[in-house]
Amino acid sequence: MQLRSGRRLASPRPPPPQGDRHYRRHLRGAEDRISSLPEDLLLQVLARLKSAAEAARAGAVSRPWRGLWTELPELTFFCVKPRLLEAVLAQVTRPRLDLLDITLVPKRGTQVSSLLRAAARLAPQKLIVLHHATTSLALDFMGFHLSPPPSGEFTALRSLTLETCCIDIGALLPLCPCLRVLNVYDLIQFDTVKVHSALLEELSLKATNNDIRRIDIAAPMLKEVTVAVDIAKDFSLSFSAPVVKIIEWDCECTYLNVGLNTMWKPNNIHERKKHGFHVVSLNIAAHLDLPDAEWSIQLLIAQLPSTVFSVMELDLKTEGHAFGSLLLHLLWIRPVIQSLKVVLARDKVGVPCPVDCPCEQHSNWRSETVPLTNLEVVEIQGFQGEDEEVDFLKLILRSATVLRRLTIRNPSDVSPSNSGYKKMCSIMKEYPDVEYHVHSI
Amino acid sequence: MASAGSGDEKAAAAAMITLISSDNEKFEVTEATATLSQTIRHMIEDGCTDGGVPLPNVTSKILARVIEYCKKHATAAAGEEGSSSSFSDAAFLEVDRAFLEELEEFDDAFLEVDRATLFDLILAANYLDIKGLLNLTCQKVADSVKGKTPEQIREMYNIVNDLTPEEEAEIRRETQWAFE
Repeated sequence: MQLRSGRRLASPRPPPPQGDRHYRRHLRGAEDRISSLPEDLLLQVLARLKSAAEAARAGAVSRPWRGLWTELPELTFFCVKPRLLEAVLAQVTRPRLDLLDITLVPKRGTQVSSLLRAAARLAPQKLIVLHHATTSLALDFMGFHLSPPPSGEFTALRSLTLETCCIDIGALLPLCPCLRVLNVYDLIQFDTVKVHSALLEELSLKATNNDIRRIDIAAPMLKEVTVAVDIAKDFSLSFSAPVVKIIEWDCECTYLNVGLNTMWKPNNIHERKKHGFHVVSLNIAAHLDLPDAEWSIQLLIAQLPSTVFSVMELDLKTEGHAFGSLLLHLLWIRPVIQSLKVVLARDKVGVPCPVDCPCEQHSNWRSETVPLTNLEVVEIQGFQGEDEEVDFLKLILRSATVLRRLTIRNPSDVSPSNSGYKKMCSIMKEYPDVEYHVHSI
Repeated sequence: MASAGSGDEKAAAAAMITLISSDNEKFEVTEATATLSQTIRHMIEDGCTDGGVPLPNVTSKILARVIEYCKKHATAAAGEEGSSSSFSDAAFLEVDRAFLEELEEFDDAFLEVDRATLFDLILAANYLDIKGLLNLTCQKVADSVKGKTPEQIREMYNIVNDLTPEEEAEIRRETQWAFE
């Protein structure tokens, strides 16, 4: 009987011969129900072992179990040597796999291009390759170069996950013309990531073991992208994804000589775009004696996939330095933001600045006005009632002509009787159109 | 009011399906419960459920269990649809999680059956094409086999070894990689 879904209805099997049955009753008082399952149901059971090796070992149970594993639609191999795996994959009888999940044993100098060729023959829809290896071992462990390209293309492949791999993605992707989902975790050795893919919809890239010099994305169908990388000092980005909806973009700036006034250095820049929110967060810390920066913070922001963000979040570790000129500089980078959040973290001990500290050299910001013509919501954390803070508040209130809401969260040790605190409250009263909240945290 | 009441009853009656087991017992179930089975769903779509749906491969004992499963999971499916619009609401997420936990407990308790019943449930789930139930029952068997040697599997399920020693040796050779 053929169902509309194309499934075959199992017809009940004839009962086993009487003598055999009697023998089994004698043995355990029950019959062998599992071997009398129709083959496709026994396969359903074997598939749920989620291990090709376990399913293959079970082939030695009895005749109906023999070789069944070669018909499994999903194959998961854990800790297999690539050479051995090639031979094993050659035994698979299905013309097409739904999933091929491979965790390789770490071994120096392993070539996996021929393994990938063996995998391509099985036309998997989803392929996961990862190395069960320590990072240091993996570093020089796979010389995977795709020239000339394997004969078999991954034409059925829709989802590919590569973990702890040293792989030229730019050379691999042309072999995967139908790819929709690409996950690359712990990319090793390669410092250039080229993702040109016609149908790709989801991309996830994590490479924090070495710094990345170039990311080049051209994916007309890309909807969702997640990137976490350490960027190199000559980093460049090319990003073309016209229909992208969700962006999570996280760059560590450890290797990058970026900053302002030999004092402020961004540790990290993060972009989030999701459900109409588009936020850029900067984490900036004060340092003494930074070299002259090769990159401005503005240039760093220009290396984000989308620079038309509407929310700016600034996390500043000021170490007791004057930060007004830094804030002003950042506001000028994108004055059309709608929402601003500033979190100040200070050294509580308050070590005094050295003589001629760079933070004191740009104090003329106090009288300026920035055309913050779209800024509606401001939240500031960590104000302690100092003069500089009061001046910054004045600047915001003076500049942001359409400000609706201002929230100030003070550290709990700042008392409402603090003179700076009182001053802030009285300034805010001068702007009756702004709804303001002051909290202790 | 009376006419409205009878209308409701009519709608409710229209949404009931009668399932008939191999031993001719009749079960009245809602359409929502019955259509967890793709097989029955197709029958309903084809309009051939008048006078009941005969299920010659399922005994009343097993059909009662299958219906118990479907009732519980049909409620779950309805709940999911109802709450999907307010997915961002933390309170709803909390409710969903509690419900999912309850469902998991139900499934665990549901699987506390003897082996014969478990295999009957697998066959019924396959025949009726109920994905969740097939997954649940096959996983139960897979979990019992996991990590066992062929000898242990034979012992556990009363399987007679019909392989000759030569065949066994050959299988062993073919699947040597799986034993490493």
